Amino acid sequence: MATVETRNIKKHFGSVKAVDGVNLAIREGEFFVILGPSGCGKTTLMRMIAGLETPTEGTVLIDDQDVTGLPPRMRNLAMVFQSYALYPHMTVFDNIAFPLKAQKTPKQELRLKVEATATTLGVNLLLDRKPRQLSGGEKQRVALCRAMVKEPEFLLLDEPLSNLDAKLRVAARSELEMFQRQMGITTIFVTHDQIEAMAMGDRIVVMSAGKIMQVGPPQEIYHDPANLFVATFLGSPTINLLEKDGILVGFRPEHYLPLAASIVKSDLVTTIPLRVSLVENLGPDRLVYGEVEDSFEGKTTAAKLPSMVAIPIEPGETYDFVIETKHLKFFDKLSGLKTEPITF
Amino acid sequence: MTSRRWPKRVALFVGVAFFCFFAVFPFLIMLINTFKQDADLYRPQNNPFIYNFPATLDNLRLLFQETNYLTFAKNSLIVGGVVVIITLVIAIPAAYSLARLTGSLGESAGILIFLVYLVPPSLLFIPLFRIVAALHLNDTLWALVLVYPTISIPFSTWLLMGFFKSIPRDLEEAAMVDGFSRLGAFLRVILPLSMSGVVAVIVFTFTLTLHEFVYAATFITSSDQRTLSAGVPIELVRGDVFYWQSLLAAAIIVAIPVAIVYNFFLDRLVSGFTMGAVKG
Amino acid sequence: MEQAAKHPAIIKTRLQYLTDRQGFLGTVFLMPAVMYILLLVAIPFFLAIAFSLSDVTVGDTSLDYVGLENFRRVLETPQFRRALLNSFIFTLTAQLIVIILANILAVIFYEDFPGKWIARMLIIMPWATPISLGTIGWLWIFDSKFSPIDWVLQQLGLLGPDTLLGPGKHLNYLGREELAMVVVIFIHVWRMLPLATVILLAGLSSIDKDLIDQAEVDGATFWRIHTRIRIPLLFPIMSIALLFGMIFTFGDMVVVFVLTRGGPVYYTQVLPTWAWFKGIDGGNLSEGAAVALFLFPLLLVVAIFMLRSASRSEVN
Repeated sequence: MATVETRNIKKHFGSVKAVDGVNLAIREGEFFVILGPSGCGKTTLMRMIAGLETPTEGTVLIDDQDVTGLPPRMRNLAMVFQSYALYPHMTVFDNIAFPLKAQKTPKQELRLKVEATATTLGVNLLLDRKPRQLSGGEKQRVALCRAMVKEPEFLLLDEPLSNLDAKLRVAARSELEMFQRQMGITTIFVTHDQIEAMAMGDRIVVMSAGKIMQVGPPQEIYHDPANLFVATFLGSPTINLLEKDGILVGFRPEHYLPLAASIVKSDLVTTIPLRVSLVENLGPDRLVYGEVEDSFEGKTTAAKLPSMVAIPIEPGETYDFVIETKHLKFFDKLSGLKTEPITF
Repeated sequence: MTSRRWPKRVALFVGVAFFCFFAVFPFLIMLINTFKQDADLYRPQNNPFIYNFPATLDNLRLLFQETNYLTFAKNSLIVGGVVVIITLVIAIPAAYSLARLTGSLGESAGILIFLVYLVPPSLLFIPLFRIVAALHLNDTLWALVLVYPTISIPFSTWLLMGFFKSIPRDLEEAAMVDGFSRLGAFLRVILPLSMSGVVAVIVFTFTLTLHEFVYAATFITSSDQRTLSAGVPIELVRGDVFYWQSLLAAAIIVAIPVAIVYNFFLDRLVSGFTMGAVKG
Repeated sequence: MEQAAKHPAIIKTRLQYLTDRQGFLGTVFLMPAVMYILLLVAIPFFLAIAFSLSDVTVGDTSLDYVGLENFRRVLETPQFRRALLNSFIFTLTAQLIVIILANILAVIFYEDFPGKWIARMLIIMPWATPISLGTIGWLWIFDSKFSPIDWVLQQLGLLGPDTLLGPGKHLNYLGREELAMVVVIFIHVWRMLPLATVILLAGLSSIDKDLIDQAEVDGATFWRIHTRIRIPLLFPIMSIALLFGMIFTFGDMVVVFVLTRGGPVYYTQVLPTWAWFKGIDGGNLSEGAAVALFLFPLLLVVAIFMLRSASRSEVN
């Protein structure tokens, strides 16, 4: 199992800086997620780790060896593409066997390995089919077989769940997680979906415009964002922001509850009244939207009430909503970085 | 509703019939006259569309046994075959290079290559005449084998370029990750997926060598070295006498198979002409 | 050194990775085609220019510079002036007719009807057949003594003594100046129509069906749809078909060569055939080259138009 490192890696396409100085150290066996909006450079970064792009500057190290000049086939890695990239003119069996053919594996051994991997991932009954006859979930599993059959040092996954429809995505996600835990293989997973990232990652790196915004375990990224970008990128609905004296005060909707529902002592909470404009009843939660004083850029403020909180909330009324003061996050307005708390 | 459709259907039918007739008329004449006796053909008052005298195979016998027609056909096949091979060997890699490997410089190079296709043989045939003579290739099939690829390569490259571009890049990348070099990925994944494009190139190149007249008439003077396209009009005239039935037979024998094959591959060929601007 | 054992493949020479490097592979793949074209197209082209500025003939192979003498001499020849004129007349007239007919034919073939596949094969036969062989067929059809058309006209009472087209029993198609020109144009139309049609048909099929449906819902008639929506959208494709047709017709030697050899007298000469007669038949390579070079300006103009319309249609 491998460790992967990038040192000050950069990729420029003409004047566009797709990746602009990224330093990462990925540990053996970890499920590492690269998260960011489209265009942030996450796919380019992954492709440089894979060897499909050559960095403009910087190095890639695998197990402390500099592999920067080497083509993908020399890096002992496997990759699952967003489209799965199954070879349409070959059967599932031949698709999975392809990497072994490259290694000139003898026929008997090849057959055994392919069948073993296919059985592990539950596609052994599909070996004679062609890719166009497979469903989305089946294609993903075949792509994984092809990746794993050569026993790679590490695995790269480029948004492999985004082509699946919503219901399938959740099931596929947990399958993937359990698979990785079972195999223990170092995995790098690229996605724009924060829920996937939070659910699956041991650590997450959030990227924007070619730079790292923050690296850390999911809980840390979520509850202790290092800057405004990370704070607003994670969390649905988006974090609420108030502006006070050049400082932006942030609080997540699920921490913003009606006073009547709060069980915390009054000296540990901050009160921010909310004039409600819209209530959405989603089933497990209620989303309450409204206006507060000092809201940043006049944006609507949101509160997320679990269904257990049954207090009636009516549009048009103003209520006292509170946040536990420890849940407040503070950012400098100009730099966007995390900053010291203020009282207000 | 139906009363509105009828005039349209009739107009359609009339239109199709008219244009088909217009297109096919000479071939009908060729076909009929192939089997006409001299006594029937050379009487202006005879109905040219029916057999006033019994049909005969004499003209075909004359064509095959007393002219160099079969030699012409053999020469055309040889030239066609070799030119196809040369074209494939040169155009396939060139097309892949332009489609994948050279970025925006590749686009300009691609356009340049295509522009070359627009230069007709009638502009270059005089200097090429001297070049061929200087290489001592005049009056041999090799002159044609050498020069024809200048016409087939540009168009074939363009055709295959469109093809290669339509294959998703991540298939090659998957092959590279799976353990092959770029070259290996090309041979094992891209080429097998492009087979229908390759076949279209073969068809186009082969028919091109059948059609070509200017170079064939310029470089070759000996009767037994000629190809069909130039040989039939130039050689099948004995003195001042046109053996018309054999001449027309010679034409239709080539026309029908080529038309059938062309019909099969029409869509691919058209995509080459429209330069991929239209998804054919 | 356990780590090295894990990655033995990493220690390899640079040469091995040539087949991986984009730049190397791309160049190697492209070189043969570029070389071929440079050697057998670019060099002859410049040689043609050199010839036209020299006194080279089949007999005298020395390249002595004579300046624009050849061009002057060529321009003074009535045959050349006629050939230049004819090249334009034949090409432009034929292409105009082709585009109009191709529009009609493409619309027809856009519909589905029984036997369409066979009809399509028949329609493309003029294009698929080697042009020299197709022209032979027309040579017979327009023969001065045995033309089937004459026979039909006679049967219809339009030809012969005391008739509309009489008094001769035969219309001497290839022996009369205007008729011969019409026949040449006719044959060019006959053979270029399939290509133009098929290109237009491809263009028609690529028009977004939603646009047509929307227009029908809005109550437009067939003709309105065709003129207001289809033709404007087809403009880039139509210009491609037109430009190809012009190049193939303008540069064509075969039809005139097989049909009339430039006759009657020299009234159907075109630039390519005149270049042949001067250069190859007559052995005067320098004058032949000069004549042929007059093809180039039109080709250049056409090529520029094609590039512009191609880039415009790609942007679409």
